Amino acid sequence: MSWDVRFTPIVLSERCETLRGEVRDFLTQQRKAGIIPEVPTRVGMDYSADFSRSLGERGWLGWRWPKAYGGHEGTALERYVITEELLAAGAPVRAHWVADRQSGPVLLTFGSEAQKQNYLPRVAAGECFFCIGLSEPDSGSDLASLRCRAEKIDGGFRITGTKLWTSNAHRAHYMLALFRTAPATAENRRSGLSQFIVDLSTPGIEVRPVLNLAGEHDFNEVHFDGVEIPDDSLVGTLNMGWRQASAELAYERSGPERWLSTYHLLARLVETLGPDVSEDIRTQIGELLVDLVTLRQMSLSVAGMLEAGQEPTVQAAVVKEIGTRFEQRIPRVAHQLLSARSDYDDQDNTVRDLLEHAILWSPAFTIRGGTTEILRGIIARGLGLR
Amino acid sequence: MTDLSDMIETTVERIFADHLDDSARRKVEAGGWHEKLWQALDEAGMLDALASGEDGRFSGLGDACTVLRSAGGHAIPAPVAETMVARWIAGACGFDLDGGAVAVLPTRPDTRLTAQRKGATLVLGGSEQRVPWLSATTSAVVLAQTDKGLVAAQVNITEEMRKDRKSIASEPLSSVCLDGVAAQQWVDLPKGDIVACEDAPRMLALLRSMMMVGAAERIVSMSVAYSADRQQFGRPISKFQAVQQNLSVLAAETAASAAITDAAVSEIMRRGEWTGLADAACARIRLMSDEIARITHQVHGAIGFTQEYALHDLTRRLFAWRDDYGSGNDWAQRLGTQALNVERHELWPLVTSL
Repeated sequence: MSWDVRFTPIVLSERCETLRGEVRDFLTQQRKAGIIPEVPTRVGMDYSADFSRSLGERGWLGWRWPKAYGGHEGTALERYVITEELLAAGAPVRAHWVADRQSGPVLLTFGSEAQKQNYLPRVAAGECFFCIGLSEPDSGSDLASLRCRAEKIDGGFRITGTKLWTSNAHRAHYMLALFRTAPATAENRRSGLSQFIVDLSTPGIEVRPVLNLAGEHDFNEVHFDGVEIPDDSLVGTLNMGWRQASAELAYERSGPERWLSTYHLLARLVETLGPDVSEDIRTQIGELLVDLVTLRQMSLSVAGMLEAGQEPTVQAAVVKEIGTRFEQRIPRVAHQLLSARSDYDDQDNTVRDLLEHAILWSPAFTIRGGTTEILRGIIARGLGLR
Repeated sequence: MTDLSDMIETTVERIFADHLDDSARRKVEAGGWHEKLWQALDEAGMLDALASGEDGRFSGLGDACTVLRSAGGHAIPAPVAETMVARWIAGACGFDLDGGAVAVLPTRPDTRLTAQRKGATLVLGGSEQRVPWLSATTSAVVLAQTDKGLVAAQVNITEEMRKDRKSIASEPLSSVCLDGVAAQQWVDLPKGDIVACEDAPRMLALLRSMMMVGAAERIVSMSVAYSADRQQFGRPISKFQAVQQNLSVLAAETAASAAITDAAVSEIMRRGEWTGLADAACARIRLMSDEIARITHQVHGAIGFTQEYALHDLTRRLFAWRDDYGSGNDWAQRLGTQALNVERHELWPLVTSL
């Protein structure tokens, strides 16, 4: 059996590098204007509807979509460049991230003409935000076990049940959700699921916060108590939601957000240590750089495969498997190198604040968007073991 | 992959299939030399792969890497990478080399060998540790520093100059002292032309990295095949999740190391100069070789720990090769030093420019 999961090298075009320069200039201005913090004290993406709108105005959302739906008909590699620059700068991209990355592309592929016209131009303008309605109290990695149900009623569907771990539900306008529309069959547990767009302002929806380890309100528990939604909320084909949602997950797994979550801590660590350090420390920092550079080339390669119309499912899993462990390694090394310093406990030590925030967020990296165990299962399937 | 590189791969795979088996490797490891294998590679032009590129000094790199990826997968017991680099430099400098193996010095980017003109002769100085295969050669190509600039020289290697030992893979390793040795042939290196002093050890390190990638990829295939074959508790061990998870990590880390190495080769050929991606490539496969060997041995169980099963040919070479031409730490440190010297907000521009 031969192992042929290769990452074809990518060369970025002049157009990509010009675009990178434009995005970088804009982000430098935003930093000087105080919209992006000069010295970050938190990892992850901050939320700013204003900032998302300003990206929409510049034409950097809906990058690959048809112009007819407010998009810009650009390439996957150009979109890759935009996203890595935004993340590396620590821009507050939380509001539009999910809609631009996965909800929009799902609608583009599976949505009706009316749905595309209704939602996509608003997403591309940075005015309409989505959250992901997949996980439930008893369904995490095992999505096929979903129970939250949508029953057919006259003129629409009635939703009953609970979604859990729904990031951003308290701020998003819509949820792209997977509901059970028919019982699973003995032959196929994945049948009987359907995708819907739910307007979160619909009466009967209750969004309750679930504070996370870092003490922040990101997760939510979303209750649907017989919520009635219209027929045109159904996305794609009834009972074919599993396949559609699987396609959605592929968008989640290979992007630079899967290895840049703690990048700012690395940048601040390097700045704090400076050039006058031991060979040993230079090696430790070098090892982190080696993986950063490697993951970037892999992520670029996946963007190139997406551009070529391929489905790099296994490669995407490899990026996330290695990338998220790398994100956890940065705070580990930073803690080792910083905690022994005499200024570590100073009140105004902003690097320590950033480190502590990174430590608290770390467990999430290898869970969200597909656990490491699930990803290894996908890689094992690629190896022909399952 | 281009048609040409497919053709090269087919050719070298055939040569290895024809000439390499367990007993051939054991003979070389016992101190022998596999002349038939060497002749076959030379006649097929494989030892000239790096030198034969016509447009630009790095244009043969892709073909050389195709040969060496395959060579690594076959745990080839011969100094193919070394001779490729020697012929690459010799070709640019107009040196005559015989058909045998040739070593290249220095073997580390931070070693400086010296040279002094004495009348019409050039006398070399300095020493080098850990020179692979030196005892199998009678000749070395040397890059050295004179008070007026760089020179490339060819010297004859004699037994008195060497101290020999064997690597963990039973491959020859020597330290060498060049003090007072007169060059047989030499040229001044014009500035900006084929070689900077670092080019030889860097090229050797990158080619060795590609051999390690080839070895690691072969290890993945062997591990997957073995796990599907080996039955325990009434089923193939590949059906156990614990084994699957181990194999996935092995495959992922191998694919990542291959990805950065391929990217580095592609970028060097595109730019016509060395890039930081290659520093990362040289570091990554060296640093990961331990984990790759650990997992494959765990999957193979007792049989993998025997002389009679071919896995050790690959894992012992990973253990040996990771120390050739700079360690993983050495290569990582180069990137670390660069990163620690940038101003605030300049780390990311450094990363995207590598």
